[in-house]
Amino acid sequence: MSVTSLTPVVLRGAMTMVLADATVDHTTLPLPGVVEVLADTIRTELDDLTWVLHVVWDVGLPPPTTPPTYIRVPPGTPNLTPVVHAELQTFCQDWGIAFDQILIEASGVNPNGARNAELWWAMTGLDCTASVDYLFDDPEVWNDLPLTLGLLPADVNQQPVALLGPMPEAQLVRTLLIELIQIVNSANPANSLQVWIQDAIATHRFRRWLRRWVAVVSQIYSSTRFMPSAWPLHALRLRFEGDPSVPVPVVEDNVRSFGRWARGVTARRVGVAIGGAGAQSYVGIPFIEQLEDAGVPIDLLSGSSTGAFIGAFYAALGDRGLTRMLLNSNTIGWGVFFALVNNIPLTWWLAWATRFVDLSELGQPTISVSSIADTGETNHQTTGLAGKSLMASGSLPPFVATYIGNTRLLDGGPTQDLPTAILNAAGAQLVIAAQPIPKVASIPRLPDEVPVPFLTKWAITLNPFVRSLDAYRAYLMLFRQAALGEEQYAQVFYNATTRFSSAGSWYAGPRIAHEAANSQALKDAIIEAQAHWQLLLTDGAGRVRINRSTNLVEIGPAVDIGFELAPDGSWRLSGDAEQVLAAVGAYIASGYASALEVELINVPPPPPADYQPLFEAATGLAAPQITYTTTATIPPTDPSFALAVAP
Amino acid sequence: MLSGLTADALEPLGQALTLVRHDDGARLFYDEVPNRDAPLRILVHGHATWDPAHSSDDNGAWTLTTGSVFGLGAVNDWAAEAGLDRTWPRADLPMIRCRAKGPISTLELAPDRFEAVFMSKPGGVLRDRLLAMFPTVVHGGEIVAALRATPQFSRVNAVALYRLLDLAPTVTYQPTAKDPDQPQQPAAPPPGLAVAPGPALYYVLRGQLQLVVDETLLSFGAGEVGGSDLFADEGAATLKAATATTKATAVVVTKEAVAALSGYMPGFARSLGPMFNGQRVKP
Repeated sequence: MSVTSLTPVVLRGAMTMVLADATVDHTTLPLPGVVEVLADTIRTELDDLTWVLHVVWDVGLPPPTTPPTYIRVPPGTPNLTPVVHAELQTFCQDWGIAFDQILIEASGVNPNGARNAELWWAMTGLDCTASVDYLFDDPEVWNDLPLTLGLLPADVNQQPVALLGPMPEAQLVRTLLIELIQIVNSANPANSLQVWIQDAIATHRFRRWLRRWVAVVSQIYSSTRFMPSAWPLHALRLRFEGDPSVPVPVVEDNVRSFGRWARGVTARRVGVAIGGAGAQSYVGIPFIEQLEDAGVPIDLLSGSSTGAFIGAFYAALGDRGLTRMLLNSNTIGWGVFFALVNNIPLTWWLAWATRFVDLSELGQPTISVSSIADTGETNHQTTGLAGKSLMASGSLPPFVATYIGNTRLLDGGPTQDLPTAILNAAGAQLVIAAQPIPKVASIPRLPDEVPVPFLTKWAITLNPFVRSLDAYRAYLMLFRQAALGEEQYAQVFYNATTRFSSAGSWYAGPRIAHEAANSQALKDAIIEAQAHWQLLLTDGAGRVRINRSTNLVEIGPAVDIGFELAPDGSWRLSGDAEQVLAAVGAYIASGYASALEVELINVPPPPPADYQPLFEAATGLAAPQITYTTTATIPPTDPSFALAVAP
Repeated sequence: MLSGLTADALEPLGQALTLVRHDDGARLFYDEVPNRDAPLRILVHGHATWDPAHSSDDNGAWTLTTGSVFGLGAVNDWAAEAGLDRTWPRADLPMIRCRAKGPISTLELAPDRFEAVFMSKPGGVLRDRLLAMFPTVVHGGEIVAALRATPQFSRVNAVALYRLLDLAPTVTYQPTAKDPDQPQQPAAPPPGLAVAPGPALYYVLRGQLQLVVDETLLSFGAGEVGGSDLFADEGAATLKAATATTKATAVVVTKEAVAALSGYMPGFARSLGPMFNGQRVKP
């Protein structure tokens, strides 16, 4: 019997070491606590079996536990790499089958990040998937890593983790007015004013305001002088909020950050792409809302033109951002109209409406796609004033182009209207896309039987109204074609079907959104997205693990646990079964369980007792260590078996 | 691409490399065919695009990532000039655009050091490996597109498949006996990446390959992907190396390459296989 299996059997969980760069203030980022919170989040939100290992000096520690909690390093070890590597390899061999995720933090031996390189190299060559999550708070730190840490192993997955600072103060004028009113209304205005000024000076508030306004205004007028460096595209972004005096960030205040990180560590990030098509992109609003309602998380966003608007508004303001888009469709429409000669007014409005936020400050990375006019290449903007990037992404000719620095940028549609593939590069395992353009509506035409003189036809072809309409509809048809070409990179693809369709009539945006929200196509896409997300939450195909809380050996999908006929006509174990039994046998032989329980299901003749030598040989266990039961199912299925370990 | 090579084989290269940092947006190639004057580069940090002019595939933001080796055309040109074996014809190579996405760091081997590195005794192994990878890199876009059309890789994203190709050499098969049950070892198995009889997928670049799968003789022509089930039981009688009735060239993706990639790419193993695999429930 030849068995077809399209996935390998995965017998060990993944190891991830969390390191923080030396430039990060380690006193405000207690890694042991943070990693424990991360592990809890993975357990509770994603249902993965997770364990945390702390690398510490072997001084005054409690006796070892089973499984171990500490990797004990002899004090004074000159090079951490070989010692830590050997311990990790042992843990991987002994306990890899019992966990999906193993998190490692090493602040005990590396309190200030000075030994990051040694620890990083300890992850190379392990018998399980190995990653390093590297925390830093300045993009340049990541860019300079080869200079500060030297060369790093290519076989260890690198996951940059950006630590964002607090969200910059928004609505400066309004805040200032409120505070001044409070001062005027206070019992002693003069004294209050003096205190307010002293406080502002002491906390560098005036300087921050000035810097921010210079950065905003200069970027709106195309300068890149004050544009921040970009985080790596595939970086996870964390922003720890709440009381800074609490040693470990409080989970309730940081659910989103820890959730994003947990999905990043376990390779379950979800990206949403929204295509650009003027007002028609408003279908993206109910799409995001219903994804949220369905419990599908959104870790990354990408979009071009109005699709980028919706993504950035959502990333900056959450649901309020989507509402703002809905309520201001006319404002955008007027801005677009003026953009025939000048798009600065619309840029100002977009910047204001997104609270003058910078794309690099968003917790959910948002990729605004535009096209470089001079080279025809795609430009993926992940830093810079959101309003300016969005304006560039929406600069569809014949509207004016947008300069960022000396680069002339056009609408993202001509090069990547529905940016799905970019989300893979940015780390999304599940890509959900909204293609907003329905098929263009047909225009009434005269039947061929009606005689129309050629001169009349010629006059019609010269009619500027008809020509404009043709150009407009041609744009839609081309954009739709382009967007459909991106379908192959998305697991879920929503194809808008709204009967009312308009890219240029901005006032109609809310109507389009409303129609889309109630359309069957959107509901189907949401159901599909939900199914894909649930699939990501289940064990991956090929995964086998021992669940220590139930003592069951959990066999994931696509693992062929059963029997097959050998060429000599006898029954033997399948290849997958041999692998699984060897791993479970080694686990028991190490003393972590006392015996193996085998439940034979629908085994064919000869009698079950004749199968026992197969299990003894495959597990390497003695006969008394294995107990057998038999079960028959109705209707009968292929012969197989289930496993459990006795504690 | 260099995995599996011994420290001895890599030592001459290691001594001749220099670390170079390129700024965001730096153009390493722009509408040109990398030629003899370009250095051999190993990307050690960051990402870069690699867009051949004939590619219709959308690679996303980048193709090259940590560990990618590029500029193999220069090594091929140099080897051809030096009259060495195992070089590839240069005709019809696509023009390339290669741009840094964010600041990147590369290790670079200047063209004037090729001879010293690759003509040294240990460096010969490395040279043969790089030459075996050259057509794979040139045809990377079309191979990725073809792999994505197979059930095994239909859910794997392009970024991961480009990394898989770093482990997939191009092999030339000389005409062999008529009997397909007599598999022939490739004439020149690349060092460390020998394609022995075993589960593998073949993307045929030129010629016609034959393979016995489940006692059925399959034949693949240029542009086609075929081969045995990568994760079938070892005992299954399907695992024969390919043969060719006329000279053929194919990119070979082995089970070992897939296993190696799943070792350092989280989520890769989960994305293998078609959707129904993930939903199949065992009793």
